[in-house]
Amino acid sequence: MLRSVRGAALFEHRRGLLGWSIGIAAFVLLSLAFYPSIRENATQFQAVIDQMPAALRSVFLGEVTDITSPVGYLNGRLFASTMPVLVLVFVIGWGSRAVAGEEEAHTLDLLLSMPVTRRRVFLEKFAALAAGLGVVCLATWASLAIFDIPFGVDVGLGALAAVTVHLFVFGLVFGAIGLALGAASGRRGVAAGITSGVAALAFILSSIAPLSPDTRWLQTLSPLYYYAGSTPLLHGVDPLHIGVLALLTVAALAGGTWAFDHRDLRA
Amino acid sequence: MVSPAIATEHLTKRYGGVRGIEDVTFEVGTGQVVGFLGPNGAGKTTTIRTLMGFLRPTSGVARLFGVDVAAGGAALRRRTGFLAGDVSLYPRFTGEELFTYLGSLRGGVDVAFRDALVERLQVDPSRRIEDLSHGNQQKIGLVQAFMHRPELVILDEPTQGLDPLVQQTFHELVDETRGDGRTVLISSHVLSEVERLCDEVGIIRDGRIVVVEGIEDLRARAFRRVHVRFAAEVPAEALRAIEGVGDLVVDGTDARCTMVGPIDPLVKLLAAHHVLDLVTERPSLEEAFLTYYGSPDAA
Repeated sequence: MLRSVRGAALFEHRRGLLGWSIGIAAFVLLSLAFYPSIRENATQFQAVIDQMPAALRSVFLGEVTDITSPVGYLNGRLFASTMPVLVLVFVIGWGSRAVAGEEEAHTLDLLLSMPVTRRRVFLEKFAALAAGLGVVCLATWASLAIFDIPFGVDVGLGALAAVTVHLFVFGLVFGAIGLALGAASGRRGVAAGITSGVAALAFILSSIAPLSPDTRWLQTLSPLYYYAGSTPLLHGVDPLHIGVLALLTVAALAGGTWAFDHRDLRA
Repeated sequence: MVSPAIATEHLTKRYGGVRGIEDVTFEVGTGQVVGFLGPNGAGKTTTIRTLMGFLRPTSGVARLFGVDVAAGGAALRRRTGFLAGDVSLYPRFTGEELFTYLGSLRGGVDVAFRDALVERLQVDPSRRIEDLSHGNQQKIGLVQAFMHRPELVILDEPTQGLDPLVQQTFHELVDETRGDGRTVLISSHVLSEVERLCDEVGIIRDGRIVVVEGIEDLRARAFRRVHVRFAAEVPAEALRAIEGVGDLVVDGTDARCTMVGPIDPLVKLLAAHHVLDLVTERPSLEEAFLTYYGSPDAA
């Protein structure tokens, strides 16, 4: 584990990762456990949903509004808002502290007195974050795959995998932004604050923009659109949307490395 | 020609208009142990962090082994060992975990040699670093700085918090490093330590290097304080006429002055008088230090 910067970062997060994985599995289990009772009272629930203002509905549900079908339920209960928010909390916390946290704890001087370049440290920190996010996404997928049939939420492993892949790449974008801002500023609070702000804007944009045909195109400016816009739970992985998210990630990483490489470390 | 282990040319670092160091030029030859003296805030740490590549110089060049630090980066740090001023190690790691991690990043660390260091410095590598006292953390910091037998060791205030026994071991370690023909730069504000360890000393003041010279040369230029009690009237004029005598204060039959350079002329003069008491202090580096810090024009 302690053979590389990447390994050490995972080692440092080992307990947190375990906690997140267990927590997410528990949350998934709990969510699925409610499905049978919702299914029984399908008409009442759907009536409530249909009465909601369109804006609110799109915030919480996205485009799939039949919440009592297995796909609609999983989408509304987990993937439209809760899972992306959980993933954001996870990656923004990890990303913003990866470099900036070491700087604030004064261990960055020690690390960079080793024969490693700043670029290497930065990219290995990102690799660790990606691996950590992978573990959390895998826990999500696995707990869904285990508990879906017992609770009658069978949407197929492929559909679950597709939405999890979208979730993973969506998480990478904001992990990379948090990491880059932390590496550029050396301040964890600044990085976490700005990244959270960007994420909040993304949510607002993708829920408000579709309400009017004139502003609809604006939703394509939000990373959230490339996570959920193609409804991967129904239609599988959208390579184009994944590509856009990957491109955003690479852009954030490129900017972060450059800034990190060209500044003074804080004492 | 072998490049000096450290060389800076007109190295300047300003922080948003505020000066950190200004026009610092000095060299540390291979195999030398050099002390880097100055009060806190004079620019020692800024200079060292620029040498390590943590700070980008505003102007001027810092070279290690003849290679510009800005270009040589990781390859230079492979040949260098470093201990920061306020030592900050990964608090959640044990000493053993830290050595494994840093050893992996460095590659090729002789584990037997490292374990011998751990033994000599009496480090307990099985405990978590955050549970160790400051002095014990400092020892772990020293182990990692020396464990790969680097050609150059840069230490920022290395003996803070070390108990005297460990300081002794540290001194031996520095002597052995010099014995191998390797180079050490030690920043310190503890003069006696620099006096004990170093061949040469650089003094930095207000961001500028004031002087780099041998300890003995520095001491020769240092002033000593002299206090003479005469039985009769003080021969003030004759005293003043002696080269090197300054700040003469006559109080009844007591004379106090400072003295730079050879003391012999003073002794010869005193021999012609009835002297009740004579006190002179050996010039310490501290006095030399004050010579430079005492008056702004000393350089």
